[in-house]
Amino acid sequence: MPCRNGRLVRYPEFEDFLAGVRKNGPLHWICQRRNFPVGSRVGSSPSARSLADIKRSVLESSRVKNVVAEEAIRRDWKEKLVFKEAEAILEEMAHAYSIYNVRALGFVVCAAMEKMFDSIMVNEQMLLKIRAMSPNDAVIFMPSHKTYMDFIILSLICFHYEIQLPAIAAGMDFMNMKFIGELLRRSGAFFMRRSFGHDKLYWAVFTEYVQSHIVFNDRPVEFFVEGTRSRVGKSLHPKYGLLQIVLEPYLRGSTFDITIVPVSMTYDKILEEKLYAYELLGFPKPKESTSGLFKAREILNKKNGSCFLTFGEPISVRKYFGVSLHRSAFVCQPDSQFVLDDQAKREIKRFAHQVVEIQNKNAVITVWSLASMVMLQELDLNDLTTFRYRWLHEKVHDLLKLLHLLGTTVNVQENLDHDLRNYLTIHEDLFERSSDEDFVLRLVDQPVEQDSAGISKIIMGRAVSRLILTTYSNGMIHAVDSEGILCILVRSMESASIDQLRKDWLHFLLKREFVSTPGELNKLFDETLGILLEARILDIFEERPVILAENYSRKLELMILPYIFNFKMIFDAAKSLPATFKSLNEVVPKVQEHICNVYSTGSQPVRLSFLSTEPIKNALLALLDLQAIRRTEAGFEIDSGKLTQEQSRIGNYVNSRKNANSKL
Amino acid sequence: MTTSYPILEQDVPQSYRDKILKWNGWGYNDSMFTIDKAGHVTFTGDKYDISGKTMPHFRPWFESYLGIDLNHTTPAQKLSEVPIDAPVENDDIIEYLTEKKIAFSNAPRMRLIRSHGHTVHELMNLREGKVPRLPDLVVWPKSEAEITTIIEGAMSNSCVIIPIGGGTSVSNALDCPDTEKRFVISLDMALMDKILWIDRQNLTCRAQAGIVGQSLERQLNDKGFTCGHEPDSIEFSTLGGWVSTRASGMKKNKYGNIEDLVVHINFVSPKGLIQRQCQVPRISSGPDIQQIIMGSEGTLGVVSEVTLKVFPLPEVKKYGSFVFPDFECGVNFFREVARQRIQPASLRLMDNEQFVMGQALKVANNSYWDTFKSSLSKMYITKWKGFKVDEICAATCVYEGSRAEVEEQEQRLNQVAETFRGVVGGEENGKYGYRLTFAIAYLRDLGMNHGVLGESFETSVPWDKVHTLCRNVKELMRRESKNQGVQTPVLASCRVTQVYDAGACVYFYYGFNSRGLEDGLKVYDRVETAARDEIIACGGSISHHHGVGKLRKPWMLTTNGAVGIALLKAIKSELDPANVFANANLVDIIGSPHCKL
Repeated sequence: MPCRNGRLVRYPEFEDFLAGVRKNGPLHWICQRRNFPVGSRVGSSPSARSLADIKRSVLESSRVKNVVAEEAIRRDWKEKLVFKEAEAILEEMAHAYSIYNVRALGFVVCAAMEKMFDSIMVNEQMLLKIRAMSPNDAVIFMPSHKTYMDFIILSLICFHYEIQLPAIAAGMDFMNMKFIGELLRRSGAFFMRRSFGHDKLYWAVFTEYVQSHIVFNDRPVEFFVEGTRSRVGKSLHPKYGLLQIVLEPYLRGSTFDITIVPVSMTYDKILEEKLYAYELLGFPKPKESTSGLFKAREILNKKNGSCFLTFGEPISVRKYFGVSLHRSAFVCQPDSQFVLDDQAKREIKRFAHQVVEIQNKNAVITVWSLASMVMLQELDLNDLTTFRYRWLHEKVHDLLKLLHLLGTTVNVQENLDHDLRNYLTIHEDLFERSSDEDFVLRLVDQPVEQDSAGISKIIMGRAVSRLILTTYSNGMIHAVDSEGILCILVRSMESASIDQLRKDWLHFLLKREFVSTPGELNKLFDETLGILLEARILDIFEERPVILAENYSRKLELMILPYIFNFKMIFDAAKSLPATFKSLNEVVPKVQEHICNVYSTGSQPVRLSFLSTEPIKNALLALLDLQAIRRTEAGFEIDSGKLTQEQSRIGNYVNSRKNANSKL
Repeated sequence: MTTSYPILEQDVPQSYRDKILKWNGWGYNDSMFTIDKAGHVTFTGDKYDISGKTMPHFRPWFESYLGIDLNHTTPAQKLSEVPIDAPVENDDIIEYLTEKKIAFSNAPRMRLIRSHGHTVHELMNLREGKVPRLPDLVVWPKSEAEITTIIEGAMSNSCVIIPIGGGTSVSNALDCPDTEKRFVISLDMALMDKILWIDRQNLTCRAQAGIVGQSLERQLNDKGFTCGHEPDSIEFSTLGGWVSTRASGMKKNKYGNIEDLVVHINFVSPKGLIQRQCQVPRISSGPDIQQIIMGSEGTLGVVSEVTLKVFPLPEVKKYGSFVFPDFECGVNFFREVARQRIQPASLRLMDNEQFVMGQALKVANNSYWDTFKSSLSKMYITKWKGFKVDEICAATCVYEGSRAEVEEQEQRLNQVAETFRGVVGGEENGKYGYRLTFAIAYLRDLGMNHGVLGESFETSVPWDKVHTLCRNVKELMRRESKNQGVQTPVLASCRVTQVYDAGACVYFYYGFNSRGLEDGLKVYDRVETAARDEIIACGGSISHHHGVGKLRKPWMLTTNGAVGIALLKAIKSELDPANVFANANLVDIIGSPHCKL
């Protein structure tokens, strides 16, 4: 079967970037003569623009000029004053990239990376290809986003492979970190406010600033389509705004083409794993502060394993949108009044989702992800269970076989035993382990400072380690999500026809949990069915799908059922929410409390990871999509009729599992 | 010509088309670029400034820019070897024409020469002896009444009429549709070439539609007038052709395009004559029917007579030129000129590729002083002003008017140019730029002798999109050529040739070395189609003045919309229900054999 998901990290496709650094040391590395290809606008000869040139082109653009004039009238200010504000916005936003800064900072950063990671693996050939393309068309890197490390490592790699360092769209919160903010700015990051929907002036300056880099092809632009770091180890529902800004120059013909490069970044250990877990439980997010990061100094001396970067095949926007988006539809508008129509917006959204899909497809799936999945499932039987090493090895081995059957490649570096032991060392802080040959592992509770939202410290502490495991197990979930869902459907809707199943395709409900391309759910259904048929897990009997390999089917179901249980529980909790409320965030703790109660009484199967705010938000948004919750002027209101309907619908899928051995 | 069928003729006139024009290339028989004994490119004949001169820099440019080996030749087939099929039989129409005393001929050469325009396809076919469907007969009406007679004959004898003026079309407008089974008559307007009257009071002139541009202009000049319409094809194209394609002239800034110049038209359609009762400067009588005739491309009938505005000859005609550091500066300069409405009679902007080509086409200079001067000015531009040789571009212009007017125009233009970093390049360079225009059409024949395929095509575009359109279309031509397997560098160049209040006209030049390609014409087609798609996607139009013909029909629907097309079809079916004028230009008529529906 062709490889559908995952990568095998092997030479010559993958190279260890750190091996090169280690040969002569980071100082030598950073001081090497570099030859960055200078990009240019199509049709002009290459010339590097100075920072001042960039700023000038933004402030003198007709977009900014027009908005300044409009705002002056609206605010009844002098134009000069508005212009001053535009300048200030730009000043706050702009990067201060210079190669000297990069070299100075690069040494420190590179030395730190060298200490932290065993290896940083990169698929080199693709980078050489990207480098060759970069002088002609602007390159946009769109990496998956799991940690701060993402942009630091990507920049190092660019430096190493002599690709112009990208201008990175970073959140404003990074700017406020004392040392790091300036470090980022000087190595080419620019800062965007988290929300600036109605601030026209800000919007104009920001848009023009980003587009200026693309049109003049000064340097690649890098941004995260997920908008923020994913705290849960799997892809977040993409955001569209920045992608629209990035694509606009192509749509209006200001640039001939744009090259999009999806980048998948996988880590053996995510530095922020614990922070994320606390955050997801609802402890206030610690301010992004430098000292915070440097408390992470201890991290520097710990073993963090490897980092894997897979650069995807560059996508020519011209080719991609050539058939779906007719630029001629926009040309009746003058350049200064450019507006995207709904059809264009839809296509761009679709593209955002496809980039996420590519990121997933190319992501390296680690043995650790499988191990976490296996342990979590065991915890479903007994939340305080312990794991024997030999048992773990066997279970992971079984899961490997199943994934292989589905066309998924798991990166086994040496052999399963070696890898598994290595991962257990990397993640040793999660466990207590006995010292015998077939050792026993027990998850340790993590310290929690205070009770939160009426949930006891003990439960919270226990939840932390389970959340961390969930984060890692999510690293493989994209390889089994639709397959698991389909198996659940087939089991719960006995003797339903293909069409009936397709109509009841749960994926719609779970689309925020398992990101898929809108409008292509039917396609996904057919593909998934094809895969399961080919793997001989399902079969078609008298035009109705039936389960052929009971064992595998159940395994797949069990991996996905917790997500459905989680949703169901949140739907249940929504039942007891006040009929109207101001914001979704406000009700999240109430839902957590409900889940905690269910856990304590043991009336229903609950994973402590259900306490995570992420699926709670996703489920509430799903209810919003289903109109069981509705937006009102004052906030939100619950349509209890609709809610009951959805509750019983989701109930159908889990109730039919009563006979299963598992608690879930 | 290899042929064997009885020649039927009556009163065949001696026309310039058959005597002094090339049968398979551009222009006069005696005028062409050739390689002389020393290996330099020269221009033959005596009709142009550059005739008899040598261009020593051209060969190196040609060879390096297009990756050509001039020793490799792809000569054209001889006329005597071209196979010509017998015409469709229709004795009735021959009998009818004989009886009506209309001049006609079915001689193979007559048919062949009127079977095509000047697209690269048509010329390559002639060069390679691939003869497409030819008209079966050529007729020469001598009057409007004879046109009516011919149309009546065609209608009652199941014939098709394809009118032809100068034959300079570049849109496949003159091609006989392959699928046409009926007897096709080529209606040659060559004998209707008289000026009927000149009205000094109203400054208008009435002429027959077959009059050739340069003849019209010469006769008007002799009387102290000009018509001011000067398309690049003026030597060969006709008044009727201008009207039926919505032509545009170089000096439209001062005199206007054909639709501005036309006061009155006589149009013979199968349903009868269309003409307005009065000859007035403007009228409000419902939608303008003259506007339906203009641009009808021979699908509705024949333009027989036209009344045009004329103007007193200007006191002074002066050339000028500017050099700009890059194309964007040039475009911005043009935009500003349009904003201030100070455009001289003509204003054109060449891009860097054309600027370089123009330099390469400069004739050998014997004067030591001249070489010194031009190298000195080159130094001034590149060293002193810091212009880059691979970015520089140039504008040329023509001033016409009274001495004082011209002086003032020149001064204002120079001032504006300066604010866009332009350097005044002098009169000689300007003059040279316009001379080149006439020569450039001959250049393609030289290219074809060495395996180069090339063509020019135009569009119109709003100001804010001029620069991006030019850049993207040129880039597309380069990349798409590569995708199609062209190994050598291609010529992808453009110029802005007209300035309007709301936009500009842009001309593209595309040429490549087809040596080693399996099917060069197919490659050419794909690139041109992709280029037109890109033009449309960047906000340009289907055509500024070449018209639609058959070549650009695929973009008619997007351009005019379904309702618009239906309207055009309705007009056609009202005026020409039997589809006598079946050249299949503009739109496909349902029920006609070439229709894809």
